[in-house]
Amino acid sequence: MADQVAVSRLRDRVNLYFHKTAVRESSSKLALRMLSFFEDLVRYAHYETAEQLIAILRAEGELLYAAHSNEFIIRNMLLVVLRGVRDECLTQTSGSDDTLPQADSLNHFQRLWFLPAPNQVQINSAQLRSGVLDFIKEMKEEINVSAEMISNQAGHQLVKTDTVMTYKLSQSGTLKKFFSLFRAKTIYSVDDDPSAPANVISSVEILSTMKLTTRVVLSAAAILPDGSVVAPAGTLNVCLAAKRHSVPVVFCAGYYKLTPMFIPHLDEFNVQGRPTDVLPASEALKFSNVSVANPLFDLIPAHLITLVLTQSSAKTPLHVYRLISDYYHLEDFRQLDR
Amino acid sequence: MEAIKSKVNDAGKPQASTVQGLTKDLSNAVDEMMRTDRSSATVQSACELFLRFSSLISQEKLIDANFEAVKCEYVKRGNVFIKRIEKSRSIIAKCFRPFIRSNLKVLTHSYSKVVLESLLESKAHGCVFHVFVTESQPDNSGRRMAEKLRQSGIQTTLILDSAVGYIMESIDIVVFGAEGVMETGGIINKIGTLGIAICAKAMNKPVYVMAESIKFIKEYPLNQSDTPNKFKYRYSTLESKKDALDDEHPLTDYTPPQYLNLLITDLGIFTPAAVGDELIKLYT
Repeated sequence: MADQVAVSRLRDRVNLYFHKTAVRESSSKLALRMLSFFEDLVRYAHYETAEQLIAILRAEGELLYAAHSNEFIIRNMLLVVLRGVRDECLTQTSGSDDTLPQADSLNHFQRLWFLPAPNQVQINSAQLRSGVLDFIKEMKEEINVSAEMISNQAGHQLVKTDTVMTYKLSQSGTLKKFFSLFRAKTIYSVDDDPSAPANVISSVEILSTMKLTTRVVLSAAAILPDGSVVAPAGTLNVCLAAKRHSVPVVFCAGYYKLTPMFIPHLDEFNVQGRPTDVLPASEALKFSNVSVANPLFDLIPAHLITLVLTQSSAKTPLHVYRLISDYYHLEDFRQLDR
Repeated sequence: MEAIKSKVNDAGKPQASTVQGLTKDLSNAVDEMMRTDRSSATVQSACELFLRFSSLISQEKLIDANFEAVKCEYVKRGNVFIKRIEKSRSIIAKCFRPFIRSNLKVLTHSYSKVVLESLLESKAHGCVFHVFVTESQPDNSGRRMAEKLRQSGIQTTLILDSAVGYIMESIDIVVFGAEGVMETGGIINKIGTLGIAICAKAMNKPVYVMAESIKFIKEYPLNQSDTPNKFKYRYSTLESKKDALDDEHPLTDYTPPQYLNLLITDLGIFTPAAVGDELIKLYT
């Protein structure tokens, strides 16, 4: 029972983490915290087979995601860890370092059409544990360097003489790193606070400034498999203006933002910010018949996007679905409930 | 579905005493079925995939000297195949549920069992929406679809095929079934589908296609004339009017992938671009 106590204590601690943060931290920090949570689960929970480990991780992960269902990153990290477990399992049963099994065609059919039978082979759980922990450490490392690796690709996408437009530069860690490593000649940042290291313009000036812009670089909150992107509210204006003037739009995101879920209507998922950001509380009585909305995210459809930059690759929106199968395992996301 | 079931029965009966004989018998049965008038893209792709699925028995089992055991194996795999296909529609219906909200106006074309089942499932989960069905001449199959929808209490309106342009501005989403899904990501469906898809694209309405995985066909058509005739016309028409097909009306058309938004299959939800990859996995 000691492990049950340990697991529930971990659960309490992570829930406390969510309550303590008044302002939402950056996505990368959230992703790291999630990976730590799953890492602790792997380390302290009690299990004999890989199936049990997967069940434990999934139970805890889904519970957490149900409590905070606007944070896709929770589930993304769960899927990453589950993939790690399955890979580790496969490596051990096949007894080689080759992670890509030479499955014959029959296995293809089996895997595509039937969820595989539970793994009957007994795995050395200690070996599994250490293998998965190593994997999680690698994934954490990838998150830490993701901003830098994205910025390294800047040289391929931009030249020094480019005029670049971006959105709310000072609020995105990825973008800040991007532009600090790559000094373009002129940077316009829309709707930013005046201290940002760029020319700050307001959203009414987007169309007139777009005539002078040669590239638009933006940060994504989530990347969906059909190539569309969830981005901070207001980004849609920039993208539509860019389409109007045929300016290429580049979205940057670490792999932890790849979400294997389709969102047909963003209204169900959109997070509302504080209404007092829009209408100060002192004015509330005067406008008592007005309903104040403050949606925090926009859904940018795939046809407005030219390129998606992750830390390992640059892909057109049509091919983003290939990244999904790189990071997540088919069985885990195929049977996802919302 | 019936085609497959009869094939499995065939596998249980044959006089062949070698594996090669059995495979030849099965292929003959397939050819026979292709020659009937009921043959369509679906039956053809399903037969092909069934053949592949049953014949890919692992090598150890084939070496077994007891041929009866091998035949049993074939029949068993045939039954497994059938069971999986029967589940396809409910898997698709489950995948489709998040796409339907309340008070949505849905447009669909002709009679499709997959679309019917998905809409019924959404209704059973409490969504209230309005469906517009095209009449879809020449066989008026849209009427059957509207009947079935009305029977389960879904508000349905039957519209003329020519009224699609008129109604499109008030539609929220467009849903098609498919008779075949091509390697390009495009679909073969009842004639008229292409027109509706183009109209939807022009007015920015999302188009979703629902198809089971047995409908995946390994063809790569580039335009309408590129699509093989065996998908467009019935077998009897092809036989009798082999050289004078210009006077015949095709029964299906090919909708290219750029007019489709998403394909919902029992293997998951895909963009048209991703379908080619999945097809390769099924056919290798």
